Amino acid sequence: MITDQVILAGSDAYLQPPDAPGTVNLASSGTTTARTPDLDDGVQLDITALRLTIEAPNLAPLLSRTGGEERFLSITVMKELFPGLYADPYRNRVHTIAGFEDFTRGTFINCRAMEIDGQPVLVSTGTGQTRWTSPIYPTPTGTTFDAAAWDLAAARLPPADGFSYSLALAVWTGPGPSGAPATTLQLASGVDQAAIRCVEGLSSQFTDEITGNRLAVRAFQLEFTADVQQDAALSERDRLWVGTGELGMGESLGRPLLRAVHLLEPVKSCYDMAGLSELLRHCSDYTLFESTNGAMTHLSAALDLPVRLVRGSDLSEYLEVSVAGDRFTALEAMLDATVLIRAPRI
Amino acid sequence: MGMQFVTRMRARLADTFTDEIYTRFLPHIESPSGDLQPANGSGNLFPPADYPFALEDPLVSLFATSPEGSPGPDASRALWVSFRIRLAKPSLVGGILYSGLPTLPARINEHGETKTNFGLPRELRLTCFPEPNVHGVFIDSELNWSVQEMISHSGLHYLRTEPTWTDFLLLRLSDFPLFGGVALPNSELPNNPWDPPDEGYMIREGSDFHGFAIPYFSVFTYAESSRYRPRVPAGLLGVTAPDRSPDAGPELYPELIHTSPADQGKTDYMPFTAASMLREGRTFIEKSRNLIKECFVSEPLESGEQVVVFLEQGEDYERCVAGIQLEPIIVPHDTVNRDDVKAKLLQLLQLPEDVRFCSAVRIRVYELDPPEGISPTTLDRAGKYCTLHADQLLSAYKAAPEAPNLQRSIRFLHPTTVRFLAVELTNAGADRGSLVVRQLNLQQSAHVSVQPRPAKTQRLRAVHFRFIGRDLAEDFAGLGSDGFSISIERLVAGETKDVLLSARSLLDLQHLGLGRLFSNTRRRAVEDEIVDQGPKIGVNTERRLIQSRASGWRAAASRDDLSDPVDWDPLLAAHNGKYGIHSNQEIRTHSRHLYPDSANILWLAGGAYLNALSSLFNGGETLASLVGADGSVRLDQLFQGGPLLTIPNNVELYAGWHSYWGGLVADQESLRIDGTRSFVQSPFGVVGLTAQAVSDVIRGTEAAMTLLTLLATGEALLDPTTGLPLGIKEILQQLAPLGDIAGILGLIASTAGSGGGSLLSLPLLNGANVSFSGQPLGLGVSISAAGGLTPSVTETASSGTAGQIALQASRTGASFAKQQSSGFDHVRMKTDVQSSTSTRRVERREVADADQRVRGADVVWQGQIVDIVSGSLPLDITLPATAGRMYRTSDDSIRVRLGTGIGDALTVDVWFDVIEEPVRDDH
Repeated sequence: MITDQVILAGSDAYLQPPDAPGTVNLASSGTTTARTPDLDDGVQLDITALRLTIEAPNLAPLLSRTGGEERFLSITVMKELFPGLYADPYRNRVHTIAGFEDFTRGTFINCRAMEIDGQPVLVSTGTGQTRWTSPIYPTPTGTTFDAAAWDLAAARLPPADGFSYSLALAVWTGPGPSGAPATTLQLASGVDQAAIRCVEGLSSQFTDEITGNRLAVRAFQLEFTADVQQDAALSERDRLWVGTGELGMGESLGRPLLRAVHLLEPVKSCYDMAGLSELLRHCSDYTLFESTNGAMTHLSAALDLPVRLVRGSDLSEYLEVSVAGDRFTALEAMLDATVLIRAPRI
Repeated sequence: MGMQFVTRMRARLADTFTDEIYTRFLPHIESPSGDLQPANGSGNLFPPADYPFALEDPLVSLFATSPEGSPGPDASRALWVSFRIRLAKPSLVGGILYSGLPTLPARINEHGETKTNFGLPRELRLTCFPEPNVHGVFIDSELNWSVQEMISHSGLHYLRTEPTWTDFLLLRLSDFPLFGGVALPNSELPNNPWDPPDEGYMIREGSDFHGFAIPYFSVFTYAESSRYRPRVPAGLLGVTAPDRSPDAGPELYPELIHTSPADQGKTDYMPFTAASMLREGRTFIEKSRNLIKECFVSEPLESGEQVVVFLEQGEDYERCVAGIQLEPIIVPHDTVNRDDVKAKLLQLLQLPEDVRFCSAVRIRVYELDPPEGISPTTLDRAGKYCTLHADQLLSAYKAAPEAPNLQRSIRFLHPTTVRFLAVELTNAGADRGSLVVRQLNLQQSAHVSVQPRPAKTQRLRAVHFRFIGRDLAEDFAGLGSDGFSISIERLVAGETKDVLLSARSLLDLQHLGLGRLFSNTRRRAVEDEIVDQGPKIGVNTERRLIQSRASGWRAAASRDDLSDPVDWDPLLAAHNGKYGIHSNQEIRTHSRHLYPDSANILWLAGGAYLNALSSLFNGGETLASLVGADGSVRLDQLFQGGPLLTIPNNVELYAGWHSYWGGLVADQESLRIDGTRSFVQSPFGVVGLTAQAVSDVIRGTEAAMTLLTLLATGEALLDPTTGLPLGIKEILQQLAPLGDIAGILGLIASTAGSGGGSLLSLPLLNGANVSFSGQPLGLGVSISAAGGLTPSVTETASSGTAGQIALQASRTGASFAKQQSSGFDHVRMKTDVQSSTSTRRVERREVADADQRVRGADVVWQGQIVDIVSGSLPLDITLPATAGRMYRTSDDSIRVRLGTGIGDALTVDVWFDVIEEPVRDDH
C-alpha cells in the first residue's frame, strides 16, 4: 500500500495545552507546556518549521533580555538520539570516542582497530578476553555527564551468546588526573549483545555526598572488555604486513566489537529563549505588526526547526513548547509538518 | 597440535573428481548392530557448472586434519596455517577462487552455523606481495584482504584483490571447522539404522577433529568482462529440518539417508544432500551393484512440516536475481495409476524404492538481509529482515503424467540483489512423504535494478554504464549491431513513474550528453587514387646502398616414381609424366688400361716380383733404401720397389669415386680390379700334366705367391709364438697346408736345411722358371725363362677383372630433363636509402557503391580493438530500508532495462553509485 503524504492541518497542526485540549493559546499565567501527540508505529511527522503567532500589548520591551535567565519560551525536541536513549540534541553536547585516533591512543589486549565497512571498529583477535583501555581525556572546563550510549558492530538480535562485554567510565574530579580515579561507573557489566546500549541518569553519580554539589569531571577514561565466544562475519582489506608484528601470524581475527562511545553532557539549549530577539534569530521570516498607537502588538514568526518524529524503540519522539509567565496575551504554535503513514506489517 | 597437511597439485580439473581423502571428512557411525560408513561413490566430486576456468587449467587441492582428540574449546581459532604461493611467472593477480566439500553435512545449529562449514576455514587472509617499486614500498599500501564468515556456502568462493602485479602470495587460513568423527547412538538404533535413536547420538571421545578441505583452489589474473546469462551461481548455506531429535547432532545429515548392507557386517549410507540441487549429484554403488543417484530428498515429513534451504549467491559480485528455477518431484493425489507413475519416477531419478513422494509441495522464497553480526540462517522469516518474494503451491503436473513437466520457474515480486535467500519447502499433501528436488538454480534478471533492502538504506547517487563492442561506433543509428537499447526507469508499485533515460542509438546518447564515446577512426576502404609523378610535378630521385649475403641449398631429384607437387604450376601440367633425363650424344673415347688392385694376391706377388727385379737393376739405390735411419734393414722394401716402384698399387678406378657409382652398383667393392689371370700351356711341352695337375700347380703357384707376399711384408719371417726368425724349412712347413702341392713343397722342404741355404725351383706354366733362394742373411730371387718352345699351341683361359679409364668428349645434339627440385635460400640483405626525393600528386575519388570502411586502432581494451561508450546519470534517490521506522513502499526501484537483451557483439556493464546506511534500530 502506498499512502499519500498530507500536510498537517486544522487544529491538529497546533500545539495544544494538555489541560485544555481544543484550544490553541499557550499563553497563561503559569507555565504551559504543549507537545506533539504520541505517534504510533507507522506514522511519521516531518516538521520543517514552527509558526508562532504572539500577541501582547507591547512586544517591544520583550525584544531585550529583560527578565534575566527567566525563559519565556522554551522548545524541546526529544529524539531517540541513540538506540534506546532519548534526549534533546539541543540540550546535550555529545562527546564521541571513536575512530582510529581514539582507538590507537588507547591500549589493546587481544584486539585491534580495523576499518570495517568504512568505519573504524575495535576487533578482537586471538581468543578469550579482550580489553581496550582508552587514554585519559582531560576536560578543560570541567563537565558532567548525564547519559552514555555506545555503538557495537553487532546488532542486538540473537544469538545472545556470541560474546559478552563490560564498559566502565572512570572519572577524575580533582584538578588533574593523578592517582586513582575518583569514581568508576560501570556502564555495562558482563552483558550480552542483546542488552540495551545506553545508560541515563549519570549526573547523580557526580554529586558530592557531603555537600550535595555536583562535581565537575576533570578527566575521564573508558575501559571496554569483552569475552568472545563466537566470531562474526567481516570482510576487509588492510595494510598489514605480516612481518611487521602489527598482526602476528598466530593471531586470528575474532569479532568486530566496539565502534563508538557517546557521552552526553548537558548544556543550555539555544531554544531556551529569554527575549524575543533570541527567537527572531532562529526565524527565517517574521513580521511585527504595529497597532494604531504605534505599539508592536503582534508577531508572526516562522521558526525553522526541521525535525522528523517517529515512534522510537519504545517511546514516541516529540516536540515540546513551554511558555512561561504572563507576558503574552496569546501565543499560538502551529506546525509546518507533513504526515506520512505506512501501516506496519502484521 | 600435529596437524597433517595434504597439498595436491592437480594438472586439470578432472583430477579432482575422485579422491579417497574426501571420505575422511564424512561422518561415521558405530553401533552394536553394525557400523555405518560412506557408500561406494561417496568420494566422488563433480565440479559446479559455474566453474569459470578451463577444464585443462591446473589447480590445487588443500586438506588438513588435526589428530583425533579433544581439541579444546578455542582450538578452532588457535589453529592456523600459512601457504606461500609462488606463481610460475609474475602476473596481474585479481584474486583467488576456492571451494569446500559440498558433500558434508549442512545442518544449521543454534548459532546459525554448520559444524563442518563445508570444510572451509572461517577466516582467510590473502597477502599479495607486489613487485617492489624501484623506489621502495609504500608504508600504507593495502596488501591484505581478510574474509571471515560465520557460515560459508557450498559453491565457489571468490576473494577479489586489487590488480596486483606479483608472483608471490601468502595465504593464511585459520578458524578451522570441526568434523564429526565417529557418532555413537545413545540408545538402540531403529530399523533404519540411520534414523536417530530415541536418545540421539554422542560423539566418541577423541574422534572429532579440526581441519579443512578445499578441493578447488586457484589464483586468477585480473580481467574484466561481463556475464549476461540467466543462471546465477549459488551455494548452499545449510538446511533446517523438523527437529524431532534434538540430540541428533549437527554432524549428521538433515536429509534422507538411504542405507544398504555392505561387507563385513557393515552398512553403507547414502545421503541425499540439498547441495546436490545446485550441482551434479554423486552416484552411489550398492553392494548389489545397483546405482543410486544423489539429489535432494528430505526426511519424511508429516503433512504441514517443512524444511528450509538457505542459499547464497556464489559469484564475485551480487546479481539481480529475478526468481528461482527448480524441479520438485511430486506425485499428485489425483494422479491416475499413481503407483506406476511413482515407480517410473523412481526409476527415472535412480532413487531407492523406499522414497515416498509428497502429493503437493508449497514453495516459499524469502529474501534475507541480516543486520550486521547476525547469521542469515537465524533470522525470523516473519520478521522485518526477511521479505517473502514468492509463495506457490504445486499440486499438479503441468503436462500429462506420462510426460510430466517437472521444472518450475518461480518469479519474485521484484528482482533482488541481496546475497541470501531461504527456500521454504512444505509438505502440502495430506500424507507423509519426502520432498524431492532434483535441481535448483537462481535466475538472473534480464535487467539491472536496485530496490529497497530490509537492513540498508540506499542512497542512489548515480547510475553508470559502459558499453564495449567491436562495432559499437560503426553506425550512429544503433548501439552495436544486435539492436541493443537501454532505458533507465523508476518503477513504483509496478508502474513506470519516470523514464530517466532512453537511448536506442549512439546518437541518442550523444544528443543527451550522457555518453562519452571512445571510438576508432574509420575511413573508406575503397577509393580511387590517382597519382601523378614526373618532371612536371617534381623531382624523383633515390640513392640506395644494397648489401646482401645469401646461403642456401638446392636438391634436384629425377626418378620415375616421383609425383608432381600439389602446388605445381598448372602451366607445367603439359609436361606431366615420369621424371627423367633423356639425351643423345656422340662420344669419342680415349682409354687407358689400369693395373689391378694390389689386394689381388697374385698381382701383388707378381708386382713384388717385378719390383724386386727392378730393384735388382738398380742395386745401389735399392740397398741404400733398405737401410733405415736407425740401421735396421727393411727387406720388404725390396719387393715393394722402394723408391723405384715399377708396378704400383692401383685403386684408381674407384678411389674417390664411391659416391658417383651409386645407383649403378650395389657393392662398390666389386669395382676392385683383380687383374686377369691367363694360363698358357703348350700341349706338347708338358705332356704329363693333367688338368688336375694344372689346377694344383696353379693353386700351388698361388701359395708360392702368398709365401712371396708374406716374405715381402716380412710377416712370414717370424715365429708367431716365439717371435724369433724362422728358417726356410719352417717357412715352407707353414706353407704346407696351402694346397695340394703339399707334396712338392714337402719335398722342397726336405731338401732345405734348417737355417741353411737351399735352392728350389718352381715350374711356371708359361715355361719360365722362378727360383727362390733362401739365405741366412737375406732372400735372393732369380728368374729365368725357358722360352724356345716353338712351335707352340697355347691354350688360354682368363678370369678376373680389368679396368680402364676412358676419356670421352661428347657433344649433345638434343636433351630433355625433367627434375623435381626443392631448395632453401637464406638471404640477408641490407638496403640503405642514402637519399631520396619523391614528389607525387595524389588525388582520391569516391567509388560509387563502395561503402566499405576500414577501422583504425586507436582504442584498445584488454588487447582488443573496440569502441567504448561510457556514461553516467545522476539520480539522488533514497530507498529507505524497509526494516527501518518508516518507508513509503518496498515496491520502488530504479531499473536499467537492457532492451531485448545483449548480443554477443556487445559487453554491457551497469553499476550504481550507492551509499548504504545500515539500520541501527536494533543496535
